[in-house]
Amino acid sequence: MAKPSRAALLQGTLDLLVLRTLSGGPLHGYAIARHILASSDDVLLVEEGSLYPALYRMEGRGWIRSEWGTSENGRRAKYYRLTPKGRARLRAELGAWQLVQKAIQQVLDHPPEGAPA
Amino acid sequence: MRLTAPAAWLRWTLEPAAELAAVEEDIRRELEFHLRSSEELLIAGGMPAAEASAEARRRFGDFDSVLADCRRIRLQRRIMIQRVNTFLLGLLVVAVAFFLMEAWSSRAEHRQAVADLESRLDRIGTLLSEKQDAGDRRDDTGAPVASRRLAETGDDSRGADGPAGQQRALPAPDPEAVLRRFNAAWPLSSALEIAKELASLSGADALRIMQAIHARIENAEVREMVLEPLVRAHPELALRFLHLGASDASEAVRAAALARISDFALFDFAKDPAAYPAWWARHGGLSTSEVMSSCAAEFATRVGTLQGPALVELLARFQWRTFGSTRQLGLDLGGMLRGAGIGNVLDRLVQSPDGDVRKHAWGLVAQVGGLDEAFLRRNAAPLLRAPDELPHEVATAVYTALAAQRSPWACDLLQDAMLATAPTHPASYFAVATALAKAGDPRAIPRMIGMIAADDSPETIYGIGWFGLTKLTGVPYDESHDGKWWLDWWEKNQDRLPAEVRGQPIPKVDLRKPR
Repeated sequence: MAKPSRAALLQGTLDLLVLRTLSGGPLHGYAIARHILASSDDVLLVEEGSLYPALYRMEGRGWIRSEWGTSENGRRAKYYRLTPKGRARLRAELGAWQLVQKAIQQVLDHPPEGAPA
Repeated sequence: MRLTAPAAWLRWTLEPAAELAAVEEDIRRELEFHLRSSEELLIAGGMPAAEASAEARRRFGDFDSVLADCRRIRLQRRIMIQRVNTFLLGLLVVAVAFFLMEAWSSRAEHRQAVADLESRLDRIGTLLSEKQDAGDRRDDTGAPVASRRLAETGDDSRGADGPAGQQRALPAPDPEAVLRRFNAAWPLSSALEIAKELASLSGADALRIMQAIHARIENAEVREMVLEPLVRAHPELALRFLHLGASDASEAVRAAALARISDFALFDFAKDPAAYPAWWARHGGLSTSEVMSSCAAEFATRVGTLQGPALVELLARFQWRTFGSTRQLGLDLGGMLRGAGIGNVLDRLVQSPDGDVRKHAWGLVAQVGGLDEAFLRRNAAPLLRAPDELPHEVATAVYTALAAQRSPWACDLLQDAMLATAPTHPASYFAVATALAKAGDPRAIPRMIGMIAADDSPETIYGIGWFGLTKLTGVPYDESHDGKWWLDWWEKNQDRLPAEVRGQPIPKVDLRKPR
């Protein structure tokens, strides 16, 4: 099977991906970007620069909290972790996403009669 | 988005530079960590260093734009709060500045007012000392020294006069300067102060100035109000001053002046203003005492000849207000009326069959005062045998007339009247107890205590206690001071009273039987 081309991240899903990524534990921004890319087999390309405004916005809303720590290569890095409010937000976002995903799947599984397969 | 120059300046001004720098440094370190980590991974994958750096930056995007976005998001709330704070601070600064300016302005006004007052007090002090020290000393122009000061106060050049109290040769009082001050007086009541200054001059000078300017004072209220201080300061010229008001163009000023003149003339010009010119033609050149003596004689004659409603109206018009206003000026209207023979007229009127005549005649007796013992014994004693049958005004007038005698026999009559007053007539208690207190005879104290001991009703405790005993004993009134309390007080305190009262028994009063 041909490897699918990298797809731009769907508008509005970045928050969900970041929250889901942080649900595994604290990570710095670069690690979050790498995780999303790696977990999606390099399909979901996070525009790396755009990750940071999103992180700051989520921190402003109280979903995540940041603190400086030491990275795996011994450098100072800012780590983000989920807050209780962020966990609640993640649950809500996941529920909504699953609904949409299911709805889309249903549409795809039931084409109108006479339509080409 | 590019900011316009003023917006950039405003932003730069409102955002604290240190806070901004710290936030920016924090973000920059985080973003640079990202770039370096990305670069290292690419190098580890075999990419040359220079190429890896460029690729890392390409993947990252516009570094400065991301930095600016992050900074804006981080500072958004804080900037908003700081802007609100700055706005409030600005408001506070403006408010404080406003209040400081107001306070400064007010302080300056108060200083000016104090300086004006001090200056006025200095002038008044100077005028008084000049009057005392120099008597009628006059300057080269023949004008009294004191009057020069008044003229100076209205003169714009007075600043050159130096400190108050320093003398210099000045022209005679300038009525025009005084007129300018009256016309500039604001608030209007400040005209009274000018009038009082004018009143401190000799009567002749004050009159001369007022005759020159009164009609030209622009405000009618001022024309009315300025006369009274002059009348009070110079009673013998009172009618000359009031004549200015009586000749005024304003009806209100004329009416006020004629009402005042009526009290001296004992003639009601309010009812017959047309009679004034002829009256003035006869009396205008006389002093107030001379006018009053003459008018007192005419009044006694009129009272003796009039009858019915006209008599009642005349007697009712000239009662306590007339006597009070002339007494205030040191003029003895009662003495003048007695000198004019009013006693003989009143002797007849107090026995008039007309109740209204009797009532007002007794009122006049009380105001005239000084009528002899024979008059009062002859006319008052029979009435006081049954005081409750008298009209209240008559009883009060009789009591007042007796109290004015301030003699033991009058006090005895009043005490008999008090004992003859039934407790069902509390108003009589008030009147007779008031008269006894005014008579000031402490011999009334035991009888008053006897009254309260015999009747502990609130009316008696109040009527005798408040109007009589409180004044005679100095004991503050208390509604709990009943007969038992007063009897106890008498036992403990009679030794402090005058000798003629000490040891007197408290009379037993039987309220159920005629006393």
